[in-house]
Amino acid sequence: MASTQDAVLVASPEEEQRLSITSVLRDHWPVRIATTLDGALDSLDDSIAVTVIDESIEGAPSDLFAARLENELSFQILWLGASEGPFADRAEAVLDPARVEDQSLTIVDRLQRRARYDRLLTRFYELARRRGRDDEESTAEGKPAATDAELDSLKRELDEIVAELDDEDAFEVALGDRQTVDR
Amino acid sequence: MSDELSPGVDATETPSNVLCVCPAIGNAKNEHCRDLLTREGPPGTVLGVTVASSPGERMSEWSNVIDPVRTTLSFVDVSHGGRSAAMSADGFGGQNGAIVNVVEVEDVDLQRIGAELTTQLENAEKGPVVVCLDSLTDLLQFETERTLHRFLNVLTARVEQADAIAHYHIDADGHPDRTFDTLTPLFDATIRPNCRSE
Repeated sequence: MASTQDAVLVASPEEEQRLSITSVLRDHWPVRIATTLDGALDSLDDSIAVTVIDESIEGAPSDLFAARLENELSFQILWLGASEGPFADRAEAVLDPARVEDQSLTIVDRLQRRARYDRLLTRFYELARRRGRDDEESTAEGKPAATDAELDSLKRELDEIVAELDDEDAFEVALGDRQTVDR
Repeated sequence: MSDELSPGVDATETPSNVLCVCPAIGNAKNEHCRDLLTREGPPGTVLGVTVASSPGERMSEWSNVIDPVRTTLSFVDVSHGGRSAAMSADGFGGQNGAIVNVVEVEDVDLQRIGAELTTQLENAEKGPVVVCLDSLTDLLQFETERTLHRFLNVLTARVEQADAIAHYHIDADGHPDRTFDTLTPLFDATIRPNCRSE
């Protein structure tokens, strides 16, 4: 079942391309559409798990990577285009435009798992940091201390997801955001 | 010394991942390391991770409980500015002809350390398989607590999936209490000395 944090943003100036990919994805996840890079940047928020960006879109795709870092968002980027080039290398996955119908579902499903794992890792660390803080500190921050039961439940969920990721994906997601500041 | 199980861990089962909180200086760390290595009897495979220590030093400490001829010994040895790779060979002599596999990882590259460890976990042929990571305190000199927390999430899961058992050393005197509180939920059990060294 779709959650409120697993939307896919499809950013492409080509109507045929947009229709092709959304027709495959919309039965599985909420899909948003942007026809320009600015439109895609305006659509970014916590509910986006995967952003598909067409290489033919005008503007600097690096803005998308920068926005993710600056706003501490955890969406995965799927580069729709050639598999070589600086943006294809930085994206979490690449999709050949000619293979949208037979590959997009598999690739986006994998990226959804990565995005979910990333979100839960962040949540687990935040809860763990709050563990052990006394009531006075928690009240001052407006956030209750995490209980052991909450942490145990979250750890089990994390273990289930990581079992579905290969080692490369798991460590890449876990270590991929070292540029972000500790919170 | 106390052994605390995390919520949800069956007390009759051997915990897969144990945080070993002992002073870096003194005998307690090595005594508990030896106990943890042999919790399920003589290990068939030992995978060590060394950062500030060396494989030779760890093997010297284990000499009374590990038979290097019957146990497959492998190390992921992290060399960095504070210790050269050459030092990691210290103590390898006199190990009764044991063959020890040492993978050298330059710098504290968690991605590489994780990849090497998981590969060795998957390829381990003789059980019980025991992992000794020495130490989280050393890794925290190079990585943030947040990054290490995320890394350990993956590693502890892979240890459990491989039916291995692992312990992770951390200096009881080297961190504020909050660091222990933050790291503890990652593990099935935590071993702490009754008091810290003075």
